[in-house]
Amino acid sequence: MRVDWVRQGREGYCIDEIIHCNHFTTMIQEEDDPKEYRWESGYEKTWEALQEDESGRLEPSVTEMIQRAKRRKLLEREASVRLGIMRHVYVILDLSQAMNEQDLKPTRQICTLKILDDFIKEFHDQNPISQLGIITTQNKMAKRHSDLSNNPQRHLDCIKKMHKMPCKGEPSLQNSLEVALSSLKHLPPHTSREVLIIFAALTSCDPGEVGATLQKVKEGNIRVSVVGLAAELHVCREITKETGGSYSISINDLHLKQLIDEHLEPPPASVKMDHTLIKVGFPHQVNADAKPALCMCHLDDLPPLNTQGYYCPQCTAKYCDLPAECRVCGLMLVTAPHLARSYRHLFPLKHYSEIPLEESSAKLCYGCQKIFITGAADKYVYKCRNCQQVFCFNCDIFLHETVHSCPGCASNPTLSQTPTNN
Amino acid sequence: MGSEGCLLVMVIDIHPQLAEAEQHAHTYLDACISFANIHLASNVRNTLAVIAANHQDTRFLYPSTTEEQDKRQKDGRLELLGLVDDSIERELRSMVVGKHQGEQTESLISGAIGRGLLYIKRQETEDILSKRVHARILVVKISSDTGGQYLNYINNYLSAQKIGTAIDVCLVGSDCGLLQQGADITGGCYHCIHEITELLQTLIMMYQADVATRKKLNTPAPEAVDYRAACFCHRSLVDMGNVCSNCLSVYCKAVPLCTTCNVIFQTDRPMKIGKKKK
Repeated sequence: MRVDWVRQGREGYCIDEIIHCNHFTTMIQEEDDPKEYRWESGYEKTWEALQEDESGRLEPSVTEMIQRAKRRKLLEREASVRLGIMRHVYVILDLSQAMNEQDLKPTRQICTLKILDDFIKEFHDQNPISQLGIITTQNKMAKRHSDLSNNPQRHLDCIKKMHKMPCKGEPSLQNSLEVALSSLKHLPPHTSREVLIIFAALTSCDPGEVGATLQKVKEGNIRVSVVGLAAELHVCREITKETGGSYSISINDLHLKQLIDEHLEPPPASVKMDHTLIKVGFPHQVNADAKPALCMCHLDDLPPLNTQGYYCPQCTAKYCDLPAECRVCGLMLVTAPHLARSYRHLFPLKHYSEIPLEESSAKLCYGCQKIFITGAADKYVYKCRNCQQVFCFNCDIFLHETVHSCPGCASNPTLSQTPTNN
Repeated sequence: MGSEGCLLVMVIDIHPQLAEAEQHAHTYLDACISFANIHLASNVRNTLAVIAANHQDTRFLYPSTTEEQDKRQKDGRLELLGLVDDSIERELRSMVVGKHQGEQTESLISGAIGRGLLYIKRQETEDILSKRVHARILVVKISSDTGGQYLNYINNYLSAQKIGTAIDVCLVGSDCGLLQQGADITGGCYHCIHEITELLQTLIMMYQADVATRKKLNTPAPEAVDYRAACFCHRSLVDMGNVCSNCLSVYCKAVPLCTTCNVIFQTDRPMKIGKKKK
């Protein structure tokens, strides 16, 4: 079993995390073919990536590198594949002794928990009809802390409790996968089942053979991805390769956040996924014969009775916050904007063509009215292929990452009426 | 109002149906321009942007893109106000005078809101001294909606919510559910008036205070917004619908095939013995 040594500590001359990862990922791609060890390859001269311009400033060179890296990320995401929108994701967190290491400040445990906190909030924001669950593994056992649900508050409370949990013992990959499998395999076939393992240890203590569990996971059509904090492990590589997931190792805390945030996007749907019609309720806030009642999400807290809230159309149970799964009748309750949040993946904004400033006749950005100055920041401008309007770099990034709809196309009477608006 | 200024982006609807009654057009535009002046005069750090939208185009009325001559203020009021008035008048004139081709459909408000959001985002990146730019968008609308731009509107609302921009809506005429949802999602104020002569008064009373100040005022509670989805086959609001798991289109009754993504649905088959259902 070959273990590639960790690539930490090779900071080089880096000003920004993106520059480092930029250079780093190109280095990894080059080295895939010759199977030599890391220390046998050549010297990594990361400082040569930065060039000074005529006035001796480094800033334009840095800006250009950041821009190129951001755009590359956007272009990679674009492909018209079917996505698994209704996702059921289990996050398996390793809370073994290895998490007490202090290479991520203050400790790996606290750093990872903070990143997971943000991940949970963003996940429910971007995937309102998906569900998340949390499993931890330590002391050769695995424990499910939070069941699959689409209410972020429960998960956030769990994470808060985990800050105080001591990390001890060894993790168990097989046990944690079995726990995840036990609830994921009963889900209906149209959902996308995923597992994200955050693994810091270099060993795994299992009761039997991981291969057998891996076979069951494959049959259950579950996609397992691993984010490693220490070194690359052969067993993790095998698991992710067999199930079609991704495996990456983080080099520092910002990179770890970046790797975990990659799982916010819905993955491509597997071929075996069936599609069905799901019964969904759209609750209304007004109920003619409403009497003051308890809301079903706070049954434990017992807040004062009131009539404000959303009423389930099937059983008239009251909920103060959506999305929720009705505890009484099991109907999924969402609002139209929640569904619309997922439309960004189904109707993505096609990327704009990059043209040099000299070739375009526009003097200012159509979106923010910024006047284009010839220089490093505005060397390239971005033109929408449908409406032919030109945007500056910042507007391009904002439109593609956050807005997902082109204002130029929306301001054009012929283009604005198309449903896909691409 | 506070000591940090607020950026107000006004999106004004100048649909040609305004021209049907000349007096209405004057009252409407006067009210909008006066409100812009009031905003600038109430705090020296307030800034403004005005975007107009009709059925063909959207355009930034202020800050203006065309060159203008330096005009000196003769009547003694704040120079900036005069600049704003002149800029708005000039750009409006060039926008309205021209051939009107095509049918007069709804105004392209969603495009104008999108451009306004990009302008606000640019102020955030450029203004490095202050921690946050307080910005809000005020939409003044007079024409009616067809609902064909649902996706554009929703994307704009969700991004406005993300960057913390409230979208206030003042409608003249009939209610618009889409804009009401937007005001609710972003935390803005929604109101509908029926007489155009009430416009200036409504704007001053309800929309002049910015979001932080509104919390201290005793405003009436917003009414419940209808967030139900419309089914794709009849465009009518449904309480319970069937959603396609691939493309999330909503149907009011069970259909065998999804019309948007052409995927055949697996209907209920007899389950295999031994397989447990969830």
